[in-house]
This record gives sequence, C-alpha cells and structure tokens, in this order.
Amino acid sequence: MKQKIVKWMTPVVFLVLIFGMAVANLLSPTRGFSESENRYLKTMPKFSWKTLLDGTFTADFEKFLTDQFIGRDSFIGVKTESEYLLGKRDTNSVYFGKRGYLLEKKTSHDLDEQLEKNLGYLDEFTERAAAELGADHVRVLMAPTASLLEADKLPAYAPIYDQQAVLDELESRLPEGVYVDAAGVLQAHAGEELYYRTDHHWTTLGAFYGYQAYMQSLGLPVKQPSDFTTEVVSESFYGTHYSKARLVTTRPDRIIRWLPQTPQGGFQVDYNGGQKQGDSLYDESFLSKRDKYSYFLGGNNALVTIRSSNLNGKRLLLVKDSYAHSMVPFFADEYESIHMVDLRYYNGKLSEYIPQEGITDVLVLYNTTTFTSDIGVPKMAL
Amino acid sequence: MVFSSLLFLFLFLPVVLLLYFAVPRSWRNGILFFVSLIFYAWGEPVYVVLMLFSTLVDYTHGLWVEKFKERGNIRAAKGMVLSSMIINLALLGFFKYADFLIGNVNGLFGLNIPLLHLALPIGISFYTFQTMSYTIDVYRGEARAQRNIISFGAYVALFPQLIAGPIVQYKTIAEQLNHRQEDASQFSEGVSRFMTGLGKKVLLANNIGMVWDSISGMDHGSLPVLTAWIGILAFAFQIYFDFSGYSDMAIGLGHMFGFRFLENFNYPYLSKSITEFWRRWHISLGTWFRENVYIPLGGNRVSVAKQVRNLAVVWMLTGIWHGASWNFLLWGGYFGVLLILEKFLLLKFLKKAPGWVGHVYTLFLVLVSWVIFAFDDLSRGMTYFQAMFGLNGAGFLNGESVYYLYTNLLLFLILGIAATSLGKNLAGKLLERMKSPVAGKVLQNAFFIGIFFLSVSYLVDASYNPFLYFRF
Repeated sequence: MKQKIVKWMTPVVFLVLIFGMAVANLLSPTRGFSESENRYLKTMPKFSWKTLLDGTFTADFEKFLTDQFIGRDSFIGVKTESEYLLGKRDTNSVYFGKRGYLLEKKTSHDLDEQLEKNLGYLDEFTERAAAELGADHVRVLMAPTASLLEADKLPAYAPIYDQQAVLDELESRLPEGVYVDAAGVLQAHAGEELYYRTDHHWTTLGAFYGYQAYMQSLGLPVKQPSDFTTEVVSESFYGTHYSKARLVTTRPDRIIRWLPQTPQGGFQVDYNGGQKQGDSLYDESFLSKRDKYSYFLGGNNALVTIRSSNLNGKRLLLVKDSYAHSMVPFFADEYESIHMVDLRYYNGKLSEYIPQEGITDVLVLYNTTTFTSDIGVPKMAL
Repeated sequence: MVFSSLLFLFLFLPVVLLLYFAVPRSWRNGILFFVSLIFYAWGEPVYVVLMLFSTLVDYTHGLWVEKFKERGNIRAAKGMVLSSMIINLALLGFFKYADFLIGNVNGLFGLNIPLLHLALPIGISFYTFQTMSYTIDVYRGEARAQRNIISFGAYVALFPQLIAGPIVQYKTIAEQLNHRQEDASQFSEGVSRFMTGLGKKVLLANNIGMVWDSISGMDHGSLPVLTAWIGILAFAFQIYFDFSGYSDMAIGLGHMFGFRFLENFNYPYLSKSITEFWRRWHISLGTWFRENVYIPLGGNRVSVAKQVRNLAVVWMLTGIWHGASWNFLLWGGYFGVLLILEKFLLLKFLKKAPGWVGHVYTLFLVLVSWVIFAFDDLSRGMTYFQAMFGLNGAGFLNGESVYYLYTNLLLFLILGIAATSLGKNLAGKLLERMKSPVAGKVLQNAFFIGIFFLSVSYLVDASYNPFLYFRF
C-alpha cells in the first residue's frame, strides 16, 4: 500500500493539477470587462482559415486563454506579492513606494524623441494662439506628478526622469507669461495629500492648488480653501497604479469633492457633441465602479463642453488630459463656456474649432509624465 | 507553441496525455507524431511542411543507405549520406543563412541583391541536425533504418524536443522508439523534471531577464561599470535558466511518454575551464559536432596544425549555428581560440592552480562571451564592453546601479545557489534523512505544487515571457 502511494503520488498530483485547472477553465464563464484592470478582456476569437494561416487566430486564442484564466485577479495578486517579497521594488512600471504609495516608474531611458516633438508642437500652438488671442489669454499648465513632489516616497535610489528639467525646458520655450508655475505652487504645499497613493492623478486638493496657480497667473481673484466645504464621496478608490501593481497590503484612497460655500449657478454639460448631456460636473455612476476618478466629468471623452450661467463672453478652449477633470470644477463658472478637448480621442482641427466657437482663451493642461510621451499632442498643429 | 504557456499546460498537455494513454501501445507513436505536428503548426502553420519534407527525405535516405550497405555498395551508401546532408544543409542554408549571405555579398561588392526576408522556421536547426544524424548513424551501422514512417516521423517531430532541443541523436532512442515501457515511476521522474524546468524558465529566467532587458536597452555611453556587470550577469543567468529549463521540461515530458533523452546541461557555471564549460553546456550540440564534424576530420589523432584546424572549423560552425549573424561567428571563434589555447597550453596550469582561479577565469571569459552573443550589432557589443571596463567615462556606479543591485540581490542569491548542485544535494540529503518515504514524497509534491501555482500566476500576468531560440 505504502509503496503504491509513493509510486503514484506524483503522477496523480500532477494530473489533478493540470486536468483540474483545465476543466475549471472550461466551465468558468467568459468575462467581458475587467473592473480590476479597467479594460475589456479578450474573448474567444472567431475562427477562419485565413486567420489560422497568418497566425492571428492562434495568437488571439492564447490571449483569450490568458485573459479568461480562472482566478486571474488572484493569480496576478500572488505574482505581485511574490515580486515584492523577492525584494523587487517595481512591477509593470509602477514603484512600490514608501508608506503605501504606488508611484509611476518612468526613467530617463524612457524619454524619447516624442518629448522633443511634443515640446515643439506645444510651443508652436501657443505662439499661434497668442498671436490670435493675445498672450494674456493663453496659458500652459503642466501639472507635476507625484514622482516629483512625493519623491521622498520613492524606493531608495529608484531611478526617475528629471521632471523639473522638463518643466524648466518648457518654461524657457514658451512665450513670456504663458507658463503657469503649478509645480512651484504645489511645492509650497509639499507634505499635504496632493496625490492619490494608488492612482496617477492628483487629489482634489492637488487640483485646487493647480487652480490657484492658474488664477494667479491670470491675475484673477483666487478662492481660498475656506470658501469650500469638503465631502468624502468614496473611501474605496483603487486607482490605475494599483491595477498594475496589486499588493494586498494596499489601502484604498479617498475621493473628496469640494463644494463652494456660495452656491454656483447651474451648468449644462455636453459630451462629444450631443452624445450625452447633463447638468453636473460629477458623474455619480462611476463611484460604484472601479474607475472612480471618472467621477470627475465622466472620465476621458474627445470633447466636453460646459456652459455656465456666467454670461461674461469668455470662452475657454481647454486642451487637456485627465488631470484637468478634477480641476475644472474650481473654475467652471469663470467662463461662459469651457470646451475640453482630449487630443488622444478628438479628431477635429483646433485651427477650425477656435474661430468656429468664438474661443477667447486657451489653456493647455497636461501632467508632465503624460505629456512626455503623449501621441495626441502633435494634433495641436491641425 | 511553447511549454511555458497556459495553452500548453492546460489544453495541449492534458489532451495529449489523455489520447496517448487511452490508445493501445501500437498507436502511440502515431498519436505522438500527430500531436507534434499540431504543436509545431500552432505557431508555424506553413513551415510544418518543411519539417515533413525533411522527415521524408531522411526516412527514404536511411532506407537506401541500409539497402546499399547490405548489398556491399558502400560508395552508393556514402552518396546517399551526402545527398541527405546536402538537402538538409540546403534547407537550413536557404531559410537561415540566405539573407545573411546576400547582405554580406551586397556589402562586399557594393551590389543590391534584394533580401528574401524569410521568417526563420522555428526549430529548423534542431530538426535538420536530428534527421541528418539519423542517416549518418544508419550509415555507420550505429542504428538500424526505421521502416515505419510513423515511428520515424514521431522521432523527428517529437514535440518535447522539437523547438529548443536537446538534439536527440537517433541511435540514443532507436530502441525506445518501438520498445519503450511507460510506467508510474518514470512518469514521476518526468513530472519532477518538468516542474523544475518550468520553475527555472518562468520564475528564474524570466524574472532576471527583465533586468537584462532594461539594462541592455539603456544608452551604453552613460552606463556605469556596476550596472553593466549586473546586466551581463543577469543575461548569463537568464540564458542558462531559460535554456536548461527548456531542456529539463523536454527531458521531463520525454519521461512521461517513456523516453530517456540524454542530459543537455550539467551545472556549466561550476566549470574550472572553458573546455569543461563546453562539456557541461548544451551537451547535445557539442556531442553532435564532435561525432559528426570533429572526429570525421581526424579529431586529435592528427598533426597539431590539423588539430587546430579541426577545432577552428567546429567552433566557427558552432558559432554560426546559433544564428545567422557575425556576432555568433565571432562568439564561436572566440571559444575556438580559447579551447585551442587551453588544449595546448593553459589546461596544464589550470589543473595545478587552486580551484577558485579556474572558477574566476572561466566565469569571466564566459561573461565576456555573453556580451558577444547578446548583441547582433557588433558596435553595440563594443560599447557594452566599454561600459563594463569603465572606458565610457560613466564612472563606477550611480543611484540606478544601487537600485538594480539591492532590488535583485535576493534573486541573484537564489540564482547563484540554483546554478550549483547545492540545492539538489541538500534536497537529496533531506529526503534520505526523512524516515518515511511517504512524507518525503509529500514534501516533494508540496514543493512542486508551490512552483506550479507560482509559475501559473506569472504566466497569467503574461508580462514578460520571451522565446530566446527563435534565431537558432
């Protein structure tokens, strides 16, 4: 008996492992969207002789198996945890920072010619806008990211690109007065909760300081924190960095909404030219989903226009990435209308849009890291 | 298809095992042949024809060689061997080396012959060497010709060793091909080899491979000495654990189906000379070249000048076998020179010197060889050398070097131990000491289950899982 156990144990264990998991995978239902990864998972590819012969069917089929693998999220968690225990301090381009911070990993080696191109396109665009609208009406706000302002939370000796150098280079290139020194303003508040621990965005507080920097540079009156009441809208926000680096010990972030003490007039918000309309700068529906940052202005859209009840004739073209979403509510009523364009998705021409909508002011708002590699920026030339 | 994939582990392998053990013995080679074709065609749906062609060529050539030999017509038999070699080498030459040749001819004579841009059929260097060795073995009388084309097809296409070796010479499994006996204890052996190999590839090689990938991609001009050495050390570990991991998986799978392939690696980084290194590294390739090139050329039973020539020929060929590019030729030449030097000069000293001298000497030269091996672009290889020896003026270390060092220290430690026989010996002792064989088995299985689930979690994330032998 004992001999038999010794003889058969290994084969039986192995067969149970591979057959067990094979059957479990067969029986488990196909998932469409992954909340934890915030992306659509690959589903069973359609068979055709053509795709079989050119190799796309087999490649897609393997992606399908991997994406739909049973217990996928737990397995990825195990992997990340094992990397951490092994002493690694980064995975999937995210650093396991100190005090529970997950920070972007972008090193000087990751910077390529796209940065130089983007600087060129941005400079050209602002020069043109300044010539048309006047330099007083054009601003560029490059939001610093956590890897600059929370550099002390990076793992020891973690290589990171020189963000300040990028900002300095940008400032030196832009026409006089156009550059908004958001980094300087945020730096004065170092130590406050300017960034989410699990996400690549700034917090509402960080965005508020961004707003202050913007208003100061325009010479407009600046609201103070005491002008707002705050409200926690979510305490269970796991952001984009967590999706890439799922350490079990990570605590969720809080999302806070700032409400002005003096009530604002209403807003009319239009998404993608009539695709959807609303009257709020916030989309509550995202609070019950994974992608909670999209609570602010409904996440990434090609074109969002906000009309306020302040009919002062000021119309702002806001060329931006998602850092703008949490900052816009602070100054939405400073303009009659704000036209938010995301060049990653927007396919129209800005040179036509500006006269067509009677744009009076332009703000370009990106975070430095996105800007260094964003492939939408060259569309500014259109 | 590769072994280190979810597709292989949870679809292909279960189905194949089920089919294989469900059918009577006489069908099993047929099953192996059939599933091996699917295994190959999964990634190479067109080139599978090429493999079948090579199979057919040597099946017929083997039969003819034997027939001519039996009739005493040695000349005709020799002619058949020559014909098989020409066909196989022509296949290999055309699909692997044509563009390399055209490119060099163009460069040399200022011509503009268009390149063919053929994708290299996976495993072509492995299976052409196997089929050639078969015909040669039959000619030498070391094996009988295989009359059953299914059995022969199973030998050539045998999926465990099809795409990354070991190069199984026909004579070593001729007997097993038709008279093997699968059983539980050999299956167990197979499982433990397979699990070991899977862990080596997925957990060790891939993990350290990421370090090499990031470092080798950096600008060499600003690479400090320490980072460069961490990088090449990482590559040395990656290629060893990747390649030997594949061989382990191949040997393990072979066991499951009742085959015993010869070993392909034997702790090469423990060597005290380059001569010893090549007896422990990719053994099946070294054996193939020794038996089919070196010895036929006269080996070491000829004058010193001819011995040098023989070694030079073998090592140039070994180099270029690894890929159609100058750096591989240089890599082979480098080892050729070292082996000639050792044979006639250095080995005497190395034997007398303390052990650590041999270890340091060997590891240093092997690390240098990996730089030549790793960069197709010779000028990139040169700049990497400059970084390793501080000639680029980038200093000894920077913050990044420190980061790479401390975040991989534990991994390097594990790799270092796993590259020696220490772990194996300790495990052996532990199992011996355990009073109950059942407890020993439980412990062993628990270890493998751990490796298995950890490997699966790395495969599910699918972030980095390269196939390194697409150039072979």
